[in-house]
Parts: sequence; C-alpha cells; structure tokens
Amino acid sequence: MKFIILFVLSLLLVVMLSAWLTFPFIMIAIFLLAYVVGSSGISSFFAGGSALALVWFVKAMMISANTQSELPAKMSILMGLNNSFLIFVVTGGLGFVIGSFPALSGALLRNILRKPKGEGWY
Amino acid sequence: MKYISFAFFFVLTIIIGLVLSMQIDSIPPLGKLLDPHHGFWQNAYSEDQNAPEDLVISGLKNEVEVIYDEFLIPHIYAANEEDLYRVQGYVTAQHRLWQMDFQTLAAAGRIAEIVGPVAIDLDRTTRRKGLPFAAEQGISYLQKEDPEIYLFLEAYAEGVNAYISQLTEASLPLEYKILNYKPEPWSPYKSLLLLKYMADMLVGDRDLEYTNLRAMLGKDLFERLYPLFPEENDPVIESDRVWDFEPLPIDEPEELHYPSDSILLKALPQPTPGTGSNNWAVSGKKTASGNPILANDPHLSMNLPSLWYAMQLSTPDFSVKGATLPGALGVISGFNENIAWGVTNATRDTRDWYAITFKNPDRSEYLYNDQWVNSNIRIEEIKIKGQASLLDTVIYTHHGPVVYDRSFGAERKDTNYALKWTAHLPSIEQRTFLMLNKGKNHADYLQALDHYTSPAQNFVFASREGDIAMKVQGRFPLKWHGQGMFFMDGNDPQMEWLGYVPNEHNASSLNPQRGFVSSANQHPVTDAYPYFVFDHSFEHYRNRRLNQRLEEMEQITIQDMMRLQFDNYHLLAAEAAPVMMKLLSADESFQRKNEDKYWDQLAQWDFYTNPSQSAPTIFHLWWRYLYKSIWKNLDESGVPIVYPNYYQTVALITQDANDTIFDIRGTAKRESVNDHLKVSYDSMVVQVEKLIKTKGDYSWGTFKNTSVKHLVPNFEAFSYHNIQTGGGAGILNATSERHGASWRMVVEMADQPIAHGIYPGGQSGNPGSKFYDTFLNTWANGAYVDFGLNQPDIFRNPLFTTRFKP
Repeated sequence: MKFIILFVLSLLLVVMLSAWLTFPFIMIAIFLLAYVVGSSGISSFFAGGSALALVWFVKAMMISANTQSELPAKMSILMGLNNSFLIFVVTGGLGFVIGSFPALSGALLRNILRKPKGEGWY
Repeated sequence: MKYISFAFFFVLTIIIGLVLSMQIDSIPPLGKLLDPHHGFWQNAYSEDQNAPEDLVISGLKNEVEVIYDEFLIPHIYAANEEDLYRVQGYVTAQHRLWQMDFQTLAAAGRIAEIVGPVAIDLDRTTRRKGLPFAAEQGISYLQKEDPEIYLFLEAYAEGVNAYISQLTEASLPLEYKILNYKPEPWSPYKSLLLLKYMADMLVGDRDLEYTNLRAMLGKDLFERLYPLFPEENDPVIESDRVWDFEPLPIDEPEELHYPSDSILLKALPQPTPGTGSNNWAVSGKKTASGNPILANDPHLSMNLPSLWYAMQLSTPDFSVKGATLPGALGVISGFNENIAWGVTNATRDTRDWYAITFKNPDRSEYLYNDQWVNSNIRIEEIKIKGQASLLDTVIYTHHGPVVYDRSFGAERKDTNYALKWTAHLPSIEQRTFLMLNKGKNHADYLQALDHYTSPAQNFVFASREGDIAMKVQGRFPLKWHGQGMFFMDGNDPQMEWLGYVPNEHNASSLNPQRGFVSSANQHPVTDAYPYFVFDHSFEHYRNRRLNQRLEEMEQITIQDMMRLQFDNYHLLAAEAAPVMMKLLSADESFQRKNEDKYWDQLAQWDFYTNPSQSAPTIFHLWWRYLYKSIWKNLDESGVPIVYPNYYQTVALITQDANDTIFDIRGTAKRESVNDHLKVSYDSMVVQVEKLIKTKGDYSWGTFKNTSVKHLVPNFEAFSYHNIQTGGGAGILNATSERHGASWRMVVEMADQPIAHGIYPGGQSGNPGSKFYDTFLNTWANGAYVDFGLNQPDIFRNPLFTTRFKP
C-alpha cells in the first residue's frame, strides 16, 4: 500500500515541480517524501525510481511526438548509442537512478528515527 | 546496522547526484543533459512552437514588430535605427547565440577555455597575430571617431544581453548543455572581434615560403615559376581601363638585402584554397528586362550553424534584406529598394613580416634604423579548461606583434619576426555596411566604401537607376615593386610601407563598355595599374570562365544568373586534360590508353562536374598526383615552401614537355613531363580501384563528399556528409568537400527588387530545430527561395509575429 502511496505522491510531486526544479532538487524532494511516507527501503527504492523513470520516459516521448524533432536520434549518435530508441530508455533509466536512491535513503533515515513500536519512553 | 546502511546509501545518493551534475573528461553532466524538463530534450522544439507573441526589452524607444516568413527569416520593422539594431541583436541571439559566442571566443584566442589543452596552440597563434589587440584598439578608435556606430553596437549588444538574461536552464542553446558552460555577455568589443575573425579567415601570406623559395631557386627560376601576372590575365577591373589619376610617387630602394638562408619556422595556417567568392552585375543592356541584375556567392567553409543569417531590416527610411553575420550590425551582402551589393575577397598581400633584433634577452629594446627603440610587452593569459592558465608574453614593435620568437614556432632562439597587417589598423568597417544598407545610388556606395579597411573586398554594385559598378576596396599598403613578397629586415627603414593607396586610386569601374562587372578573387588589375599589386593566391580559372560566359550571354534573365552560379564547368580540366592526354597518346611506352576504361571516360568527358559523373574523379586524382609528382623536388630541403599554382603548372607542361623543371633530382635519367604523367596515371588507377572497393563507386559526388559540419569538430551527429552536389575548387560552383557557396544571392533591380537567395544550412542554430537545415537540399540542387522585400501589411506566408515592447 505504502509503495503505491509513495509512487503516486512521487509522480505528482515530480510532474508538478519538474518544470521548476533541476534534478538535484528533485532528488531532495523525493528523499523528503520517502521519509514522510515511511515505506520499507526496497519498496521506496522502486516506488521513487519507477515514478521518476516513468515521468522522464513519458516526457521524453511526449516531446518527441510533439516536435517530430530528429534531435533524439542525433543525440543517440552523439552518445554512441546505436539505436535511437535507446536514448528514451537511457533517459528513463537515469530517471530511475535519480528517483530510487534518494527514496531509499529517505526510507532508511525514517527507519533510524522511527520510534520502536509499542515501546514507550516513560 | 541501520545506521551503516543509511549512511552507505545516503552517501551513495549524494555521489550519484554529484557525478550526474559534473562533467567527467569529455562526458557532459548526464543528469542535467538527459533531464527532459531542462536538458537536451527541451531543444527539440522548433522556433515556431514556442514563439512569444510579446516581449518586453528595456532600452527600446518604440514598439518593434518582427514577422517571420516560412523559412524563419525575420523581418524587423522598427521606427528608428537604434531600435532596429537592438532587436537585430536580440533576434540573432535567439537563433544563433552559441555560434556568435563561440566564434568570438575563437577570435579572442579563448577556445582552450571551452575545450581544454588541445586548443592552446590555436589560441596562442590567434593572440600572437594580434586579433584581440586589434579589436581593443578598434574600440577606443570607434568611441572617439564614430560615436554613432558605437551607440548602435551598444544597442545591438544590449539586445543580445536582453536575450541572454531571459534564458533558463531549459532554453539554453544545446551546445552549452553538452559542453557544459554558459554564455557570457555580448559587447561592442565582440562585434569588432568578429570582423577581425573574418579578416583572419580571408587573409594569408606566403612570405615565409617565398623567402625560402627565393633562397632555394635563385631569383630567375623563382620569377619564372611564380610570376606576378599570368600570361592570360583576366582581372577584376576590365583590362582596357585607363587609370586617369596621378599616382603617388614611390621611391624604390637603391639596394635591397634579402636573407639568403632558408628559414625554418612553423608556417601559420593559411586560408584554405577554395576560400573565395564570385560576384558580378550585368547592365540593363544585356538583360531581357532591361534592369541590372546582380549576383554574389561567397565561398567559405561550410559549417553549421551557418556562417550567414538571413534578415530583412526596415525603418521608415529604408528596407534592406540579405545575409547578415551573427554578431555584426546590418546586412553584409544584400539589397534595398534602390541598390544591391555583394562582396568577394580582394586577395592582396596586406601582411608582411619583419626580422627583429633585440638588445637583451628581456627584449625591452629592439633595433630600428640602427637605434635601440623601446618595445611594448603584452601578457596574454590563456585560460585552459581543467588546468592552470598559461601566460604568454608577446612583444609589440612599431611594425606589429612578434609572432615568432624563442617560445613560439621558431627552432632557433635568436629568431624573432614581427607581423605587420592592415587588420591591426583602427577602422570602421561597420559603417561601410550600414551606409550601404541605406544607400540610394552609386555616390552613396562610393562614400560607404571609403570607410572600409580590412579584409579587402571587391564590392559589386547595381542600382535601380541602372548603374553597375565594381570597386576593389581595402586599405592597401603603398609598396615599392616587390615589397613584402619576402621577409624583411625590421631594422631597415627602407622596408617600411610607404603609406596607403588613397581610396580614390583603388581600382574601380562604373558602367564599363562590356556591359558587366565581375570578380572571382583574381588579379584586380593588369600590370598597367600604377601601384604594385601582389598575392600568391589569385584565382586563374573561375574568373576566366565567368567573364567568358558573361561576355557571350545576352537577354539575360534571373534564371540565367542562377544557372551561372551553379555552373559546373571545370576550366582547369578543359585546359589541362587534353594536353596531358595528347602527350601520353604520343608516348609509345604508355600502354594503358589502349584498353583502359578510365582513359576512355576521360576522352569522352565534357568537362562538367555533375555529381553523377565519374570522369571528374579520374581527372582530379590524376591531376593531384601529377602536380605532386612534378613539384615534390621542392620539398627536399624540409623548410616550408609553396608549390607554383595550377595555372603556371599547366603553362609549363604545355610549353615544353622536356623542360629541366621536370627532371627528378637524384636519378640517372633525365625525366620529362611524360614520366610524371605515367606514374601519376598509375597512382590514379590504384586510387580509383580502391574507391570502388571501399565506397562502391567513384562518382564525383561520392568521391568529393561535400560536407557541412558543425563548428565543434566532434559533433558529427549534427553534421551532414556526402551531399550530392557538383562543382569544386576553381569552378564557378565552387563546392568542394568543405568549402563552397556559403550564400547565393541573385537580385534584379526592378522598380521593386526581385531577389532570390539560399545558403547551405538553415536559420536556426539549434540542431534540434526543423529550421536547422531547411535550405540544405534546395541549395545542393542549385535552387533558391524567394527573397524579395516584404511589407508588414502584405506579408506572404508569415510563420509567426513577435512584438517587442519598450
């Protein structure tokens, strides 16, 4: 459940803020979000990663469809990729890396600071 | 455990963030680059997709309207000139910012800042040639002598800077994202640098090579192989022109001392052969409509973003349209309602070298007229990406900067050579173009040209009133016969330039009897001209073909002039190949002619160079090997030299096949030209067969591999190769592999000018835009786009409109 919550929230956050925030700020935002949601490490990792991967992949596809530009193909050649579709995959993949690790770190921090269940301090 | 795993992944996350934000070696910061919201993906939009309807820029006096036609050519309608140039700056930057910035970094010797240590030598050469120094001098001169132009340059710069200040991470031009740097503010200084960059691109000298050749060959043989005028001189200004002015007196020195030793220096890069241009105008008496027609096609290195940017600039007083240089004000080659003009490089030796003797190793004093004179020291700081800066000390004498010295280009510690060059002179070329932009007649044209210094150009002219004209304009040093062909003694005052040829003595022509004026980088005049005229690189083929065609053409139409710009006739081949084949036909020992298909192809060739023909490839290779075979003797001494030109080589072959010049030193046999012809023919066959194996065919288009390349050499993905188009160096359609018609324009001066233009590229400098290469195929096919003046109220096919508001 928390996977879905974190995934959806990350998705919304990224969609709303990406136009203004460059990727290091997106990383910080996902880190904070994963901390707040407090899912497990592995679930946060995949939720944050797949949310950003999806946004980046879809955004790249949309730009490509919108512009009909040859730029993705040209950039593929420039980056030594032998298939121009790979530039979309690489973009999505990089989105996954940028989304997943901050989410994992956020979840792990929450794990440290979380009060042990059922044990009061007093 | 929880702490360790958090710490581990937290640090890993930070490392990932950092690594993806950093440039590592040549790999750009990938996170920034691939982010679809800010990275390269944002450069996929074409200009019409995110066109602002209204823009506010400060400094404007009135509202300015910019209407783009279907090719993204902006038409700027301003109420006054200052607003016009402010918006010209803004609009040019919108489409060409990275290019403008990069070209001026190159002109300032600052490429190492962007690309690292590989460019250090290039930057040092640029600085030592004094380009940034000259631009700095130019700025102070301009502020004092022409505040109006300075004001316009400032307005232009502010326009560019208004655009830069509105840039976001996402809208930054693509090259900045890949190379990971940011644009810096524009300034009038940068506009001047750009004009110095053009001078550097167009002006060379062969003084070093000539000095060595003279020492090697002796005076007589040198003069035979490198004559000042060709036998069949077909100059820019018609041969029968009478010079009716009293030339300035020139004192020839009584005794000349030239260095007799060869000089071993690293030769400076020269303008590539093929860098040249055509222009002409035909008078109404030769045209079908009775109106003069003017044509211009400058041949330069074909790059993307294109060197030229097309624009119409209008105020209530004038409307001018044509090719602009991103970074410079106004239109450089174009027309208005009243006049049209165009430029070709007026090749002439305007760079000379002086040997300098210093008193001490600190080089603070040098010998001039047997006295010690103080030198100036300029320290050039060359910033290098990823390394500490390099400080280069350059000594300035009254002749100019000491380019070659113990730390640069010279093998010997005591070698010092200073460069004297008209590009160092303070000048206001910018005024020439702005005056032409609003010129109304021939008198205005002449007045405009008076402000023009460097790089010297042949300015062609046609007017609605029916005049056609040509003027060879630049500031030409006044020299005694032979001066500046060789390195000179910097101590000897006799070696100084004697002044400059007055503008009114520069060669010119108005409405000549023959009904046309033309130029193609050939000799400007015949030897009847009263001043000494010399250069190594004068053209000998395009000019003769052009004049021959113009001479015989009548009832000329615009279409005829377009066809002439795209004329693929290979005059060198037409003159050389029959001689070469005749010599071998008579040679018993040459067997190939009997069964060889290449021989047959050559024999049947019509001397045109269309891309599908194969004979041009055969000739080109055979000629190239022959030329090298004949002159490689000259290379033996290992010092820089330059071979005699093609024209002179053909003349020698034609005159005497057994000339001693063809004998190969060090062989027992006495060779004739036939020996060179045979061995080079065999080399050609080997090469053609290799081509067939590797490329599948040897058609001219495939062999020539015309390419239009991005300014960054390793951005191959943004370049175009193997463009199937004809022509070549020395041909009117001068499209070789990397050089060619960088802009073609044909204008008929009717009541409303009828104009057509094209260039190998597109209006947008953005490789992601559909306007990046819009004109390329049209250009390759020899076609044009309509280039007439447009009025805002009756605008054909507008793409979009932007209103600039104060």
